[in-house]
Formats: sequence, C-alpha cells, structure tokens
Amino acid sequence: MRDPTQGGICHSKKGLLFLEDCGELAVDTCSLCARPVCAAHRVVGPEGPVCPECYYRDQRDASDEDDDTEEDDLDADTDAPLSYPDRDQYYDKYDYQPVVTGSSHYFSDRDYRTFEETTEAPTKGPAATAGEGPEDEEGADREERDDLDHFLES
Amino acid sequence: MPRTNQAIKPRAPSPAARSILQLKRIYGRRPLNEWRALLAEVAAIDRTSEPLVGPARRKIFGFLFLAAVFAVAATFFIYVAVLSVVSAGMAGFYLVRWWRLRSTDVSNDFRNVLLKFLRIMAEDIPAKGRISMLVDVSGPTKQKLIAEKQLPPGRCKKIVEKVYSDPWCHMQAPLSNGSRMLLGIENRYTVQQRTWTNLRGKTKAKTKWKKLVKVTVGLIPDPERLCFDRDRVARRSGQENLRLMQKPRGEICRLTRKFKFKDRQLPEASVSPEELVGMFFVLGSLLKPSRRS
Ligand SMILES: [Zn+2]
Ligand SMILES: [Zn+2]
Repeated sequence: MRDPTQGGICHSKKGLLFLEDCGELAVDTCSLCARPVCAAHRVVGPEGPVCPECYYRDQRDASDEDDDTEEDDLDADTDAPLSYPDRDQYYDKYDYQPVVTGSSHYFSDRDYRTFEETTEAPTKGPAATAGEGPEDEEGADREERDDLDHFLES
Repeated sequence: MPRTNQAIKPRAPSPAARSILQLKRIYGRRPLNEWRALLAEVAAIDRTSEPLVGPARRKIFGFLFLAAVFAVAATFFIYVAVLSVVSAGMAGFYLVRWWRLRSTDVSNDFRNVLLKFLRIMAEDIPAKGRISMLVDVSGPTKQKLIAEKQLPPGRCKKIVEKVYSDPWCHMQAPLSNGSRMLLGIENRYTVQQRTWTNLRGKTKAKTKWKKLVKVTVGLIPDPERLCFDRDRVARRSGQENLRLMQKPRGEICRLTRKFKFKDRQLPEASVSPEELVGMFFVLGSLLKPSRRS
C-alpha cells in the first residue's frame, strides 16, 4: 500500500511568538495542498483531512462572507491548544510577524520573518535541551531567581 | 437508584491546591501542564465557593434577626423561645460556613489573567520545560499596606488614603526555540475612604478604589540564534518604557506598561491576557538573527 505521507514529517508549524516546524511523524496529507500532517495537526473537514492552514483559510473565507467569526473561549478550563484562527487573529490584532525557523517559504498569504538557517537547525543546542533532561535543580532555581530580580529591578 | 448528588460530589482538593488556598501563595518550578492543572483546580474551587460567600453572610444576619424577633415574642409565649434558640443556632452554622468560605477565597487575577495567558503561551513553551513561578493570591492584605495618610479634607470631614502594593505574579519560562520569557505583574491599589456630614447632620461615608496594574515582560533570546536589533529598540524606546540590558546570562529586553481600573469596591477588572501576548509580540518584533547563527 502506498504511504500517503511518503514517510514524511509533519509540515505544519507550531508556536505563537516563534513558529517552528512541528517535526512529528506525518500520518496523512492535506487534501487541498498535499502537505504531510501529523495526527495533532490533521483537521478532518468536509473535504477530508486538511492541514490547519488550509482549514483556517477556508474558515476565514466563509466568515468573510457571513461575517460571523467565532471567538475562542479563553474562559474554558481546557487543555485544548489554541485553534489556528486564534493564532492568526493575534497576529492581525497586534500586527505581528512571527519569527519562523526551520523550513522557509511555507506560508503564502502572510508575512513572516524567516531567518534562514545556513546550516541545519541546532537540534541538540540549547533549544532542544531547554528545561529538559537532568539538570542542577538548585543551580537553575538560583539562576532564575537572579534573572527575575535583575529583570524586575528598575 | 443511585443518588445523583453522590455522583456530582466534588473531589477533595489535592494537597498542592489545599496549600495554595491556605497559604494564598505558591513558589515552584514545574512543567507547564502541572502549573495549568494546579491553577485550574484552585480556580474551579474558587469559582464554586465565591458566589456562596454573600448568601452565607446574608443568612447570618437573617437568622440573627429572626432569633431577636422570637426572643421578644418569647416574653409573651414562652414556647417561642425554642424558635429563637433554633434561629441563633442557624446563624452560628452560617457564621462558620461564611468564615470557612472566606478563608479560602482567593484573588481572581490569577484565573482571569495568568491561567488564560498560560493557555495561549502553551504554544511556545515546551511541554517538559520547567517554569519558575511565584503566585500570590491573597490580594490587598494588611501586610501589603505601604502607605496610609489623611488627605486635606476639602469639603469632606475626613479622607483616609491607603496604598497597597501587591506583586502577585513573577514567572520565567523556557520557550521552545531556546529563548526565555519573563513576566512580572504588580497590582497597586489605592483606596480612599471619605467621610462627610450631610445637611441633616448625618455622617456619610464613601469608598473609592483605584487599581494600577503594572506589567513587565522580558525576553532573553537564545544568543546562538537571535539578538535584539539595537536600532529598532532605540526607535521603539521613544514611544514605550523599553529597556535593553546586558546580564550574565545574555541580553534581556524589558517592556513595562500600566493599566488603570476604578470601582466603588475592589476592582475585579484587570489587564487582559491578550494584552500580555501583545507585549511579548512587541519584544519579538525587535529580534533579528544573531551573527553567530
Ligand atoms: Zn493544506
Ligand atoms: Zn504536526
């Protein structure tokens, strides 16, 4: 049987302030743009599985027609991640162009600041280890308290 | 048939949540999901118990009034004294209930601001990254009183002003791209109690609350990848309270904004979580790739 994802990784982006490649194993492809998507980023719509970006574009076009945008309910005590329309609503509201790392030239209908990485993205750098793995708990705690003190002093 | 009220009986609070409700503060380093679960638990308890405080208080006074009425009636019909005793007992029951509800009542900013903000920022915070956080949910207590003075009374008889400083949230969190974010929120409450005498010689009093929410956000970019664009920071500093600082662990850019709220009672309103996100976007927009990358 043919693997629809061609053994690929998810091409969706995650983040808000910074957008990064999702990097999870893809389980499907978007029926509109053929981009591989992981289980978390697959949205099943009337056209079949779509990626969040295509889903949002669809929703936005529909809401432009009936002008009835749904606001995310932040009051709900839920673990559900923010829906993609919210991410774009934040960008629109505060006129923000997120910093994108990883594969570039990905989004077509929005301005992103893509900082081309000349070499491969550092996977074992501080980014990958931030807050993970064994660490000197007390040392980290002290350093962070110092940072907070410096940060709050006027 | 099973009784339905057994099914909806609330679970006992976890030890950590109980500790927050008792001590009214918490400091620790935990992963995001643990913080969110813990704060959501405290928020749920607070949301259920908060609306019960007012009715419990009204019932104390209601039953005390009834007890007094029955006590007077008992001078005519002695057996009514039983009703007076029962009413006094009910007043005592609601007093204990009110006191217990009051002792676990917490300030609402943590659930209106922090909890919602954490949900939005969950997009950028790695699941295993540990967040250092100090949250104080006690609100403007006596310990936080920093100034108390009598103002020139003017047309009033007396004006007493009290100022409380409540730095209720400090947090530092790693972001998935190796940068780190910092957040500090301080509420400054100013309460004025005015007393005056009206034309009929009756003494009147009025209270006014002002709440000034000072939000400071900071970003420490991963120097391997990003740094602040000094020209852009300098340009933006003209319009905002923005500061770029060199610290042993890298450069920090800090942005401070203030938000004001007024009410006749302790203002419930606060800065919106979206506004905090907007402040981080300001810092994010000042970044450029570092020369090292
Ligand atoms: Zn798509
Ligand atoms: Zn994905």
